[in-house]
Amino acid sequence: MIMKRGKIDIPTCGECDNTEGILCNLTVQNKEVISERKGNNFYKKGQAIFYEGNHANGLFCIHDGRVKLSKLGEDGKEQIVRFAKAGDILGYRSLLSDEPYHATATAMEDCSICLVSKEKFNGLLETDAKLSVNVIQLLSRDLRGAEQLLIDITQKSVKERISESLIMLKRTFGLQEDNKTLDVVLTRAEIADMAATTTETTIRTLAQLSDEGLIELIGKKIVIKDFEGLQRIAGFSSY
Amino acid sequence: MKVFSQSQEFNFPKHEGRDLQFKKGEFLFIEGEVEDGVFFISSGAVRIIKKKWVLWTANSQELIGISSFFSEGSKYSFSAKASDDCKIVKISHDEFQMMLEENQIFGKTIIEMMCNRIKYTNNRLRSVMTNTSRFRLINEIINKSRETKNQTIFYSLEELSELVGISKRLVRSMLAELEKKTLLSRSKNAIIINDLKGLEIIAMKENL
Repeated sequence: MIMKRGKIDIPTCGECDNTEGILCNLTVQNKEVISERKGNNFYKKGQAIFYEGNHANGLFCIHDGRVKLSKLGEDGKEQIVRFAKAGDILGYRSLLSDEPYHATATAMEDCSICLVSKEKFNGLLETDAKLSVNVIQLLSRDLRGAEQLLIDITQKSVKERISESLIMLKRTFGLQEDNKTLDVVLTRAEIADMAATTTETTIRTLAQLSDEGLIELIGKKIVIKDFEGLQRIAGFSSY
Repeated sequence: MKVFSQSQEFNFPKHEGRDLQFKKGEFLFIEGEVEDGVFFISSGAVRIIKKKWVLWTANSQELIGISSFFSEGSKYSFSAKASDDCKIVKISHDEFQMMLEENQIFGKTIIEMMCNRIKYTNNRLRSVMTNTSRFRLINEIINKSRETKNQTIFYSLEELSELVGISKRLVRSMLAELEKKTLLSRSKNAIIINDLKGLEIIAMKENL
């Protein structure tokens, strides 16, 4: 069944095509519970879904599209915290800790996003142990990511950090059909925001990685030619 | 953050090998070791170290090893080192899984704890990105002095290096510089603050 609200077609959670998000694992009954009165909005590429510091009033679940989450440093520089894709949820940490949104979410492409009320989400957490475990798993991933970034910024060179950012992009978005080109297009400034460096240094470092035969730059597209080489430079470990 | 308050008792099933004791400086586990459950600190404190840097210090009534419990590689992503003599209760992987699945209050407490840890780590990240290493070193010394209400604090070069995230060589050179300005003096593993106000002024200038 398709629920129509305004100009946007909203599938119920039970009929949603996404299979990998934590809400996708809910029981049929609980999917019905969150489908009731859920909202859905369409966001154009570049449009903000919510801003860092805004009051958190609900949980966003990406039906379609990709989103970047970023924070502003005291010097006004943007730091990309993570990316999210279809099936992923946004804003959960603010709801869980009853705090304003910790980051700004921006649509990287045209997106369709559902909104589940704070009360519905918190109510499900009280009764669904599996959801609770899945949320802890998400928080564990976020904590490991934050700790890794902390270590990277203090102990890794820019070249290591940019290599690590490329590895992270491959893991998050995967490769195109040629099995070599990253399936996401970011500006050099966005890659710089991921690696906590300047755009100029990012341009120079990407050119260096290209000269060394690890990647190939075709406009904004990045082709991964030697993934193991990138892993070696990033000092990548399996834990 | 304490996981269990005094009034909220949680009974861990008794069995051999569960109650452990660690002397100051001993490791509970090392970064990269195969994950083998989580650890509850009954008493004492444990430093969580990654790549020779203290990420945070876990105190009595806290749990450690949760993020590694959920990691795909099934390995500890950091080392845990006793910073005092510690009494530890070890909870096996399967037991922890069962507790999460069967006890909603336990799950809610863990969620709250994880949110606090992420917030703490992000605040440190912001501090690292906006403050100099000299500011972080002086700030660590000032905070420790305030916390212990003592002008003499006990830190080895290695500990300060791990806490601030800079090399021992740099810690030594910065301390020598502060000693030259007679703001502090050193003796073995002790740092004696001679001029707290002076240290605060330097930290403030560094942060401008």
